[in-house]
Amino acid sequence: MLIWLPIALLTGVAVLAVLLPLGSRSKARDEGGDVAFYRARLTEIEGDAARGLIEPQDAEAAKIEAARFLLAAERSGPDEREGAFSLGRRRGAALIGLVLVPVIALAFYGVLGAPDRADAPYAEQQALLKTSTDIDSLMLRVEQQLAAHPDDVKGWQVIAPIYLEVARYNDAVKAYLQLLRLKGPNAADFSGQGEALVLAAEGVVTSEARQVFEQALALDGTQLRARYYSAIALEQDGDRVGALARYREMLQGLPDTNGAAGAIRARMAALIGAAEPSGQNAMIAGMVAQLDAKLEADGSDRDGWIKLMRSYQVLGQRANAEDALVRARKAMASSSEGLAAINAAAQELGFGN
Amino acid sequence: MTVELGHYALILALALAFVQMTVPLWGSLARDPALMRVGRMAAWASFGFVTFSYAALTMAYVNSDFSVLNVVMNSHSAKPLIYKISGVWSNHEGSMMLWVLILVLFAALVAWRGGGMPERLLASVLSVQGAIAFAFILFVVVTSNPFERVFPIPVEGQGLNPVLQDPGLAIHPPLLYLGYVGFSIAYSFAVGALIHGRIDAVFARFVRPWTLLAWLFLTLGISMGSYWAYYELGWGGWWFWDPVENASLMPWLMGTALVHCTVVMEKRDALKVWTILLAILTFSLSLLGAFIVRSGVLTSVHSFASDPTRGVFILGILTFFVGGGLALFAWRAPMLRQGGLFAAVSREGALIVNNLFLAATCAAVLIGTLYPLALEAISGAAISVGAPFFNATAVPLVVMLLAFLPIGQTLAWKRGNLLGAAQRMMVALGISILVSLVMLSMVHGGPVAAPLGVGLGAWLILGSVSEIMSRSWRRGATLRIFVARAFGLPRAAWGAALAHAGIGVTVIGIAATGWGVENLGVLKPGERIEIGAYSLVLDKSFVRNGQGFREDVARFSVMENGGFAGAVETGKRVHAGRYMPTTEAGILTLGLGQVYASVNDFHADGSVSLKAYWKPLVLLIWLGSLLMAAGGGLALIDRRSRIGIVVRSKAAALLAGRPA
Repeated sequence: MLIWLPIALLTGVAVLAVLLPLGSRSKARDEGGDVAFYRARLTEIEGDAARGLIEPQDAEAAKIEAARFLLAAERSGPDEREGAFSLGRRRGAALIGLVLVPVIALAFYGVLGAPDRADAPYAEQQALLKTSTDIDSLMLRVEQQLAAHPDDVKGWQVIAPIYLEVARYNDAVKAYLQLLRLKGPNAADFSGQGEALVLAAEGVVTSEARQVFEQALALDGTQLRARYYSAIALEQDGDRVGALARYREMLQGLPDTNGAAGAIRARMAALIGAAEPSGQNAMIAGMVAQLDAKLEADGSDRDGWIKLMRSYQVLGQRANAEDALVRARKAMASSSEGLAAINAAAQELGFGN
Repeated sequence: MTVELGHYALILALALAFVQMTVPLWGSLARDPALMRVGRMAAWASFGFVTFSYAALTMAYVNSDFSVLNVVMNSHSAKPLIYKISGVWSNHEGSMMLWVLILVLFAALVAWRGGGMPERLLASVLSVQGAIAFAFILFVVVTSNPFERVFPIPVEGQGLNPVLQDPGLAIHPPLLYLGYVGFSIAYSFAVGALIHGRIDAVFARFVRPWTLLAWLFLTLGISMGSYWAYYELGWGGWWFWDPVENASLMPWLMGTALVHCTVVMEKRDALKVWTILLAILTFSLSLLGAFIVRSGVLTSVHSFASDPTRGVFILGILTFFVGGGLALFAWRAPMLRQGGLFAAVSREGALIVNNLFLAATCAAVLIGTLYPLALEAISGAAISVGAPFFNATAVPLVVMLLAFLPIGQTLAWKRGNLLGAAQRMMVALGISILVSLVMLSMVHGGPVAAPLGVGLGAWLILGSVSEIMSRSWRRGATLRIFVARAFGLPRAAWGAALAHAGIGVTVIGIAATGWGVENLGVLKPGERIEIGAYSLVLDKSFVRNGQGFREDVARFSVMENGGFAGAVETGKRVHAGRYMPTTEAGILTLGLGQVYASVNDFHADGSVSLKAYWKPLVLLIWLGSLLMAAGGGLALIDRRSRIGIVVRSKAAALLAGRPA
């Protein structure tokens, strides 16, 4: 709050500028107005005539005219009478200076000013950027570094996921292409590039993105991100059953705490609820998806399978229900009693011969 | 902290302007000298605070402080220093700061030089000037604050419009504003005197130098703006009757009338009421110009990004000061004492004719400028009143005025002799007609108006020469006495002659545009295009990278009678961060004429389409205006118009043993 000191100082100067002249006791200068002016002009004409600047007869005519104006001015009398001295008036004026000036200034500044804002000259900001840790300045620094050294693998590796994070998808695509150029083809960077392409297309897995994911999966079939987006591609083709199967596959061997598992389950839930996307069904769909995932991990729960089939049937997803029956039969293969119960339930639901 | 203190200093100046507006006026009405003296101190302090504020803003530009929104929007850290400084006034907010700075500068100058003025007049003048300053500082602070901060602080600024990255930006606006705002002093004097109720010769003597100063700067400002538009916009013209150009021309025409009128008022104590009215109208037209540029009623090279609140605010300022001034005039003018009498044929009479012509010209320009705007506002129909309208209205009026000028200039004060004046001018007239005839017979082609225009220019120049000669020469006098008398003439006489000759020079330059040649062509390297006596040969086209831009350049050799006369380069520039390419015209000055080349397009096959002009004597247009301004300067330093003359003369009177 160091700024209030100079502000007070400036205000003081402004107030003084008003108060000082009010304190003076001197009388008004007697200008005499026109009278003095024409007297001065007479002198001037004489001077000019003496120096030969004007002809004597011209000077005479000019003097006569000026003298005539002088007489007229003297007749009309001086104007500069001084008004009666009034202490009240001076106090009133002093009050304007003493009160109104600071009040106007502080009121306006209070609304419009930003007294807590420091200057931010460019040079200082640049220096600050070098030590700052916020994401923008970090990115800027890495970008400056990469502009100078475009072969810096580490730099690209740092910046590519950040670009995805801050929604600069086209820059992310370029960054992954740089990584592929520098490191050679590899599944992780192909997947990254594909993801950036999908996000740039607002979630649509374009044919270009598909090719990229295929390349990734050709190099490494376990690449989770590539598998995930390939499943979404199936969804977008309308192959719900196929997509669900892929998701289930992915959940295998993923610990529940893994963030990707959550994303996959959400995706499944959305897929299941997609037929009737009303608010309530969204919740049901979530539960069904959870159940489905659980049974995929541990298929020994006979009643669970029956519930799953019924749920799909209720949701009107016949294909999923039939798919669940096939999986349940597979899971119950070792238990004839379980198999019988499943088949009975399927019978009851009207399918599964 | 500097930025915030600059902001606070501007607000303090606002508070002080309020004091300057109210307290001295109160003092003047109550005849209280202490209250009146507050005006001078407040004017000085306001000037100090606004200067500080302006310096703080400039510092923010120089240091590229991107926490200030105005700097972010209009600057870039990589910009050359000169454009960081001139960039301050490249935009609406910053240019209003410059406007306000000049406004308070003039008030401070009046407070400083006005020591010899009657105190009540000075107090009223400062009060009116304070009111104008208050209105404009309030406008800046409330609607156009250049100290607005941003957070988070952007890393880089958005740069300056490339058209403005030119030395022209450093010169044209400050001169123009000195002119526009300078006329506020004439207004303040007029309104101050109306409040004061006394308009006398003292008033005229004090108002004249300020008017002259403003006129001088406005002349330079318009002329430099014209030259800038000529070489930067690449359109080949020097005046486009653009509404904003007209907005500066109108106060100039009115101000020219005012400058002449104050002479009559000072010398002959006549035309007082008319002078007061002209002073009010001249500044009103300056305000109108500000309104047209900043309200968004039109778009042109000059218009600033505008929002409606600003337009309404300026309209309010305009209405208050024009309406207030005229209302006061209507109320007080009948009470003014009329002054000296004169015959119809006299210098005074001639100056009235001059005033009428100038006012009529101004009215023509005003109609041509406002009618399309008004029509668009009412019916939504966009029409354009271009050069044909002005050529048919304003130009003939000006030609008549100029034809009459040399005769009026030579008439005597009070009672003139038209026949005698005509006799004195016979030689000048004879030579001018001869010049026209010689031109007509020698030069083939081109409009008939061109030789006549050159004759008119010659008439103006010779008329001025003749004026100086006839005032210095007496029958039988030796050459030595003649020279001594010529140098002994008042500087104002020399100034008037120089300014009038300057108009002649400009008129010749304008007339010579009739002989200009232009040609269009698509050229491959090695091909040529003819313009009059010259031909342009395309040497090559290439790409050049400059500071912050990339330019396609076409390089031409200018050939004259088969010999090489010089080279011109013209190109299209694309500045970093901007997509609109700008055209860089190529200009080669040959004597007083110029070869002007402006590229339209670069084609894929390496050919270049080009517009090329030969402009004979074109530089005279601007040289003439420089002479006019120099004439104004000479009149300004005439000892009679020195501002403190009354005090000094009083001292001289005391020395001479006379009561003052």
